[in-house]
Formats: sequence, structure tokens, C-alpha cells
Amino acid sequence: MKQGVVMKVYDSHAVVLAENEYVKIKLKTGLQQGQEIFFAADDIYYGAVQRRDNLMKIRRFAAVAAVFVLLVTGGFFFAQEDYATLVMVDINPSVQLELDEDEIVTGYEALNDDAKTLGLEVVIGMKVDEAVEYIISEADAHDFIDLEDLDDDYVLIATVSDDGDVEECLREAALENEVLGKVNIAIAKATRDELEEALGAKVPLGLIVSGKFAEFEEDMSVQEFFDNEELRAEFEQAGFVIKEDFGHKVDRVNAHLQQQEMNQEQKGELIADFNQVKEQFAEAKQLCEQTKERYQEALKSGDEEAIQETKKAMEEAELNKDKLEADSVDVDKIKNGIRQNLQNKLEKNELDEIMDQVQSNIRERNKVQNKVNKTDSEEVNLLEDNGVKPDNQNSSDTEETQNQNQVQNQVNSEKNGSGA
Amino acid sequence: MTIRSDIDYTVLKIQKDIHSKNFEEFIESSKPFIISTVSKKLGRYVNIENDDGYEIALLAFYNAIVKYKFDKGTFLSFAKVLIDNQLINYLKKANRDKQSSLEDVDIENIKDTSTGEIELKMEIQAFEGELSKFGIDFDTLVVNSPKHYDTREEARIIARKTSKEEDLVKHLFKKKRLPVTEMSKRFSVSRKVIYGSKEYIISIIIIIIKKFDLIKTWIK
Repeated sequence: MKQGVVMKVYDSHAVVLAENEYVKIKLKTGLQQGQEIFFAADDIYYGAVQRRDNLMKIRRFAAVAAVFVLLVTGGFFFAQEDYATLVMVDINPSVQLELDEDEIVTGYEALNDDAKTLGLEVVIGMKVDEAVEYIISEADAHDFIDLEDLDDDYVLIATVSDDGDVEECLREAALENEVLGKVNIAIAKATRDELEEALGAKVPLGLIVSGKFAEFEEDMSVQEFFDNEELRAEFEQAGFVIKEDFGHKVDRVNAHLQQQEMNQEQKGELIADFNQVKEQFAEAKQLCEQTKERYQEALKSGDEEAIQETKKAMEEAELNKDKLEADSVDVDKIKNGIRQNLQNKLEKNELDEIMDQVQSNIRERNKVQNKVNKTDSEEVNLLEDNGVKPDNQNSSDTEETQNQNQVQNQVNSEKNGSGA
Repeated sequence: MTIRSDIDYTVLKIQKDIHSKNFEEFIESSKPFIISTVSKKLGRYVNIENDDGYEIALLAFYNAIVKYKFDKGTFLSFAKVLIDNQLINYLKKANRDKQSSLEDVDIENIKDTSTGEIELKMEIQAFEGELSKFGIDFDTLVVNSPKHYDTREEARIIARKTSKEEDLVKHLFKKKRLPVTEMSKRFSVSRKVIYGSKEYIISIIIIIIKKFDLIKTWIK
């Protein structure tokens, strides 16, 4: 005989909370929410109980049956589409996720042996970003990747019949989610044909999309693919990459820099420089979020002027953030330098030279940043005199300079406003 | 021929000493039987407290102990007859009173509208509301809660620990999902364990944080 309190009365049964357990019981007269009752084992209701896996089995069965029918009648296509979008996640391991219209995982499949070692059942019911985060963490826990070493980690995601919601979901999640921020997420859209091709050749779908299939060697891993600059560029034409959080990259590199045997002073300076870059980036990122929020508020209010203003501020903040991210070129240089040094590919002095070069680059950029604050166009020419190459945004353009001023002022007023 | 069970002999022994410890123990162990008889006869569940039907049945049960003799058959079948009869009498009387009274008062349930029960009902409704913000309903909780006692206990422990950490609770209520990575690190449990019981864990955290203390008495 058990005791429980009635949580809810439905048409066919009721749910009670009984001694730390939620239980379904049969209906009897007078049953009310809040009633504290005795009930026995034979009062338990076993009606249409669908645990997560039962549901999946039923769907699987239906899908297989439907395919069989189709093969017989001719024509092969995914008839029993009980999913809205198909998502292939490749790190190695390779996992296929089936999503419904709300980007919730309704089914999964481990596509290679490595994937089978992950405990994937729990992804059912998760939203796609949660599921991807889980797969990444499991891959890390099982040592398929190391999120903190010097190798850049790529997670390749290909979607079939996605109307952009999956991409959107992942983009947003990557901004806030710690785990997703530790990797580079490469996303590409694929067609059904490409999916079949990939499955047939046992090649990650996302790599097919880049159109470089011919050059792809069967054993090439996702990492190796993206290490190759040409292949990566090709991919970025067909899809896009959500980059690893810059702050995390700096931390990774600094951690390894710390372990390098080199001039302590120089080491300390480099680490400090990178930390400063990281802080600036974090501030820029925060500014982006703030301007975005204000823009959304303006949209709600419907005030045209406010909308224009806040939109402009938001776009400027984005530009500023991207510019800072360009600094990551130096972080990459150091990272690759250390990597190669570890593999004994460098001459003794080469790493020192790289470090010196990077330090002077950072110094120059800081000088430039200070000079750019002055509106004097002569100062802009000084840029070129010092042999510092303007970055992508061609900062010798005075209009651009004024924009940068505005952004710098905004950054400053943000600082003051927040009393930082 | 009646097959004698141990119970029949026990009752005869008790008749000789009503005040013995055996009597109390026997009543205690007979409770499930009494509850089940009442529930079947009245077609409803028996309340834990203040259940008139149960109290009447209990009196009839005492009566059965006193009056029992072997020639009545087995004790339990004898007791059942007495209990059923008393319940029928009670129902008849309740209906009569119901019809003759000016107000439409359900005498049987008159004690059910105590403030304690109203409070509990309100708490449960609020609980339901909170759960729905996380996309959880009670059916989900039944289906997706851990089936094994040990797993449930582990989940409860995780839930309690989590509710003591302000930042984790904030994350949960803001994002509407558990901060699994952080929980896994801080409490040294695998993500899989957390994910496997996530709705259950969330429900307990809600009960603790939102101070649904009446419901909380049902979580040990």
C-alpha cells in the first residue's frame, strides 16, 4: 500500500507524487488535485506509456516498412519523413540527428564505430544545440578530441532540408555556450543527392558539400581537412564557420606558451599582450550584445529614429569586434610556432623570431589605435610611414577613421557609463 | 470445507487479550486489507487522513475481531462482510441526510475543505505552472523519471546540491535548462546521469526553490 498526493487528474488516469516517485493511477470517483490518498499496486495505470526509446522504435519500424513498400513499387526516396531536418555531426565521431520542426532531436544514429562508444540515447528530446554540445563533450571525454591542446578543433555540421533555423540556433548558442565556444563549428547545407553520395562513400557529408570531394582522401579526418588552407577556403564558399571563441583560443595558447622554455621576460610580455587582446575582445563582444539589445528594444518601440540609430551602433560594434578578431592572426602565429617547435620542425631561432615579430606587431597596432583617435589625417599617413600594413578595412580612408573614432568613443562612453 | 489461514488463529489468540501488543500489530498489518475493501466498496480512493469511510470500516473490523468464530468461515471473509454492511448503512444515511437538508452538502466530504487541503491544491497548481515554463507536464515526469530507486535517489541528491548553488539556479531559470557541464564538474557526476533524469531533477529543484513546502513533504 503506497501513499501519494494527487498532482493532476486527466481523462483516463491521474498522476500522483508518491514517496519520491511520480506514478500514474487509475481514475476513481471523487479524485481531486491535492488529495492525499492510499493506493495499491493494482491501482497503477499502465495505459499508453511511451518511454523515449519505445517511441523511437515504433518510428524506426514504420520508416523501414515504408521504405520497403517504396522499393517494391519503384522509386527510392525518404517517404516516411517523420523528421523535418536531418543533421550530420562529424568530429570524428560521426552522428546523424533527426530533428522536428522545432529543432528538437527525435532520433539519432551512430554512423561509425567511434560514435557507438558515446552514450547517445540521452539526446532524444534535446534541442539541437544542446545535442551538439553533448556530442562534443562526450567526444572530449572519450579522447576523440582535446579541447585544450594546440590543434584547432573543428566540428563539421551538415544539414539536409533545413530552412536556416538550425544554423540560427547554433550561431546563437555558440555565442553563450562554453562548450560550443571551444570549437570551430563548420556548417554547410546539403541536398538529398549529396547525402546519398556521402553515405555511399562513407565520407562526412559536410566535406562533400565543399565540392572538393575528388581531392578528398578516404582517410582524411575533419581536422586534416580544415588544416589545409585551400580546402578550408573552398568550404567557406559553400558554408560558413562559426569560429572558436577568441578568448578561449587565447587561453589555450597562453597555457602552452607558459610551458615553453624561453626567455622568461619575453614569455611574460607575450602572455600579457595576449591577455590584453583577449580583454579588449571581451569588451567588444559585450558592446555588441548591448547594442544588439538596444536595437531590439528600438524595434519593439517602433520609433524609426531610434531604430536607425541603434542599428548603426550595432553594426559599428560588430565591425569593431571583427577587427579585433583579426588580431588572432598573431595568436595563430604563436600557436603554430609552438606546435611546430614541439614537433621539432623549427630551427632553434625560428620560434624566437616569430615571437619577436608578433610582439612588434602588437605594439604597432596599439600605437595605431592611439593615433587613430586623433582626427588629424596626417597621423593617418604616419601609419604608412611606419610600414604597418592597413588591415582589411583600409584604415587610411578618413571616413573609416571617423567611424573608428565613433566606435572608440562609444567604447569609452560604455566604460564610463558602466562605471568600469 | 474452509481452509484455515494463520490469520484465523491469530484472531482467536487476540480475542483472549485485546490489550496485547499482538492486537496493535495485527491492526497495523491489516490496514492494507481494510483500505482496499473500503476503496472497492465505495469506488474511490481512501484519504490518508479524515476519511469517514475508513473510520467506519475500522470500527467494523474491531467488531469482527470480537465476534469472530471459526464457524463464520475465514476471518477475512467475515470481516469483509461486516465492513461492507457498515459502509452501506453509512452511505444510505449520508444520502438520506443529503436529500433532506436544505443545502446541497456532501456530508461524506465535508471535512475535505480544510484550509490545509486548499493550500496544498494551490501549491500544486502553482507547481504545474512552473513546470510548464520548462515544457514539462506530469505525464512527462511519470514517463521520463528514473525507474530505479537508486537512480532516483542520486537524482534527488543532485537536485538538492544544485538548488544550493545560486549561479546554477539562475542559469536554470533563465535558460530553462540545466547547466549540465557545470553540475557535472562540481558534483562529480557524469553528464549522462544528469541528462537521464533531467525532468525529475528540474521538478525537485523547482519544489525547493519556489518553496512548495507542502509538496516537499512528499520528497524525502
